[in-house]
Amino acid sequence: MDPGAIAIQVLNGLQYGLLLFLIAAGLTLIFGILGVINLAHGSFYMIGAYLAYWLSEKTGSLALAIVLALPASLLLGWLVERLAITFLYHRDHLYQVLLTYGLILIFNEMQRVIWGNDVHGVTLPALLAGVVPLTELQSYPVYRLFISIICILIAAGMYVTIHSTRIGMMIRAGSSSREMVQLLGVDVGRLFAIVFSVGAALTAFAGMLSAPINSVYPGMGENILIISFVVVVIGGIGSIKGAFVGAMMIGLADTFGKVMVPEFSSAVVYALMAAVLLWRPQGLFGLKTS
Amino acid sequence: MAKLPRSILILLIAVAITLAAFPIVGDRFHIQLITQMMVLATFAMSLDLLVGFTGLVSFGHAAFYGIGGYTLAILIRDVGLASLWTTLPITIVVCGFVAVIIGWLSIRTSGVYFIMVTLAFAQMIYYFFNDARGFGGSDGLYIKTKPDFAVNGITLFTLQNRTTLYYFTFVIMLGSGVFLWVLLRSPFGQVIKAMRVNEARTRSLGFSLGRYKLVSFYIAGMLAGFAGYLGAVQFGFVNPAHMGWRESGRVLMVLILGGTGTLFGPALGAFIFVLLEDLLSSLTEHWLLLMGLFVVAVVLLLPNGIAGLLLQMVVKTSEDDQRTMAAIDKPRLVATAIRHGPVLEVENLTKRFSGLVAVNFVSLQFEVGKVHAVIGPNGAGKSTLINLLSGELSPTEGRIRYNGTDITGAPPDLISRMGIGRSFQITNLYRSLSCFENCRIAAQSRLPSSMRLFRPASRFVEVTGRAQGALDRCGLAQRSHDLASALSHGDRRKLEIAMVLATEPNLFLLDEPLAGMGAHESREILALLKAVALHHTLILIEHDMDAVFAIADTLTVMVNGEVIATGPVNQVRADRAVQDAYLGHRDAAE
Repeated sequence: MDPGAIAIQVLNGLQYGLLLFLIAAGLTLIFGILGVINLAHGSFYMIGAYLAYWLSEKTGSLALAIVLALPASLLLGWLVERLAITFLYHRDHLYQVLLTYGLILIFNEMQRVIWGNDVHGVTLPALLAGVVPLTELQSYPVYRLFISIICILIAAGMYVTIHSTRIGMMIRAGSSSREMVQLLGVDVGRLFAIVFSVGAALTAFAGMLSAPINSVYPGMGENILIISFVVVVIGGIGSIKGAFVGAMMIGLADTFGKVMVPEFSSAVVYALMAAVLLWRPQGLFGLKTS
Repeated sequence: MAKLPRSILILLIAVAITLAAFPIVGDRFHIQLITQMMVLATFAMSLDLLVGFTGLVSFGHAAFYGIGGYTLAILIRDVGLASLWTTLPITIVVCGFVAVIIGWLSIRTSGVYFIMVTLAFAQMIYYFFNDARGFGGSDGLYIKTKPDFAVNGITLFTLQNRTTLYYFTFVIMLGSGVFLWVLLRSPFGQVIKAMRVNEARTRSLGFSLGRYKLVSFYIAGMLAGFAGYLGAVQFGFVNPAHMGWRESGRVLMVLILGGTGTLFGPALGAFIFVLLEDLLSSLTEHWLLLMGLFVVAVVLLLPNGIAGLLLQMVVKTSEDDQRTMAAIDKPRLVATAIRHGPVLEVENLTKRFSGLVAVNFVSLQFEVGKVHAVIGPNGAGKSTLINLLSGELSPTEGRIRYNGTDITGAPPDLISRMGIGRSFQITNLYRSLSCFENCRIAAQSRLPSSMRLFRPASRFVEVTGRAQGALDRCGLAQRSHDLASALSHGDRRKLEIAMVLATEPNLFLLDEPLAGMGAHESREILALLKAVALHHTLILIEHDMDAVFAIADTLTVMVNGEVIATGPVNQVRADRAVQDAYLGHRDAAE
């Protein structure tokens, strides 16, 4: 590979990783703070993508579609937390897995009822449709750069929120000791609802952003869910920093795997996970727990 | 599920007889549908071994089911084998092999990590069969010839025949159930059940948990592969969807619907689940929506499944048949090696928790046959010291020698097997087991090989004898069959001591045995400890000064992680530094 091609793959890998981070951050926080393993997390990604497709068809603008879809996914996240997830606190993981598995079936089937089984594309906004020249021969799409920048901004915003606001403090406290936060008089019900709906909305947002480059199709939520699990396991459950590092590793490993060992590209990320687990069973930044 | 209530047993026998007779009257469609149910029942029972009994929630169990099917398809297509004699053993060996590899990696994690890791491995296998050339991609492989069973060239039966396959599956399903039932009554089964209730306790009794989990994973993987083999024969094809996360979720659903940890529950669950799928899919194209709602409803409304409901209905009527124990030999008293000198030595033992130094360059010798008490104010590092000695923690620096052997950093189960037993500050029992079973698990850890899979645990007379002996010595003989959770605080502490005695330790570590006891209970426990001290070396951490002075030969005082005095009780008692630091009462003005 020449340097230009490598640069493009690195950019692609980072862009994919950043997108994964948006999803994995929600997943890891929901587990760290709510103590719930949420299989339906990928469904929000799918719903985000379908909303972006549907609303941009209706309104003619992806930007407008995202503006409309974001509050909708926040609301959906809140409803799911209030109507279903709230019954899972203090239940065994087994039941959490099953209930959220049931939710996946419901969401997938709803998607088929509303939008059918077809694969859809979403047109790029004209402003972002161009390319940036890298070398004489190679260029890089502006939209992918745009995604990366947006994701970096969100990650930075998340960092500031978690490290220097009141709610961030509760989140940090909650992810190290959930019981204690409750005993200290924090309204955990509200905290849980906020974390869950923001996590859902972030994931949906990732789906909206990726809709123009990855197309929109049934079952897209599950693929991303499983990869996000790998990210979270590598990074250590409950750790935002871990989710970030894990997402970058998986983004790059997957991208280069597709180029170098195309036949086994899907297995590369799992092999990476196995390697990390052999070395550190609790993930890179996970706390050692029994 | 030690004993099934009679009414449930009758129900199961009735179901089995109905199934056996069904092909006589049933039509083709229903014979196939029931075969499908029985395959799923076998598959679900194999998962119950993991989830319900071992406490390992696998979300990738379908991988083994799928591998079973693929192995058969490849053997028939590429190797040209079509005999049950060869294809079935090879399939099971392959599944077992994959299960050992995945299991070995996965059991390093626990809880929610385990769920995610098993899911990820299953997806990896899914993508392997989906992407790699030669496996037919997402269409999978067809199985054109079905396996047959021949002896001396005479074909006795072929699975091509629908009714033959039905009976074959029926026998396999029953066989798997009986196999698992026998397995769970064995010492091995007792240990995995104990592990599920209380992992830390089981490890400190000397069981190497990893091995038990791995064997359980291995057996479950092989059985699932067996089910996958049958499923592939029935459908005539395999494809990657058979091993995807949806299948893993589906079989978990069957398990919950039926009731985990009961074996018969998941089997019943499989029948109901397939019927329901059949019914819903005939109602509407979007039947998965209804299925999703059903799943949510079961989780919220029926957490113990159908089996839980059935057991709840009949439990009142079933008599509590407590079998009398087989003749029990009087317990041998284990004499400590008559030998002088230190049984345990620590040298410069140090434990730092990031900034905090909990134990700071402690060097001590513990003499054979003595009661050595360690006292000190809260935060002195006493519990950390005990945890270092028992292997619960590994030291930052320093060495621990037991009978001259360096055991620094050895895991708790190994230390326990070497003869160092411990009790916990917070009583740590198998609350859902009887007193006798608690002790039996403990005694069983001393079997030369406790990986006994097929003989019922109750037939190991030596083990049962030792368990009963330990209960007798602790004054709990009357309470053998009561659940640990039903005991008073004092009796629980006695049971804890009995459990350690049942492991026949040389050296007995006691972490505040009198904590939280009333005066009366304290006296009883103290008397028990005195009796125990006749035959064992004790290292004791305690707050109760009167008790310490009454029982200890040697006394060590720790303050802020350091030893400030050690020696015979009377000498240390008189030590001014000790009085100053710990016993108090000196003027602050000085």
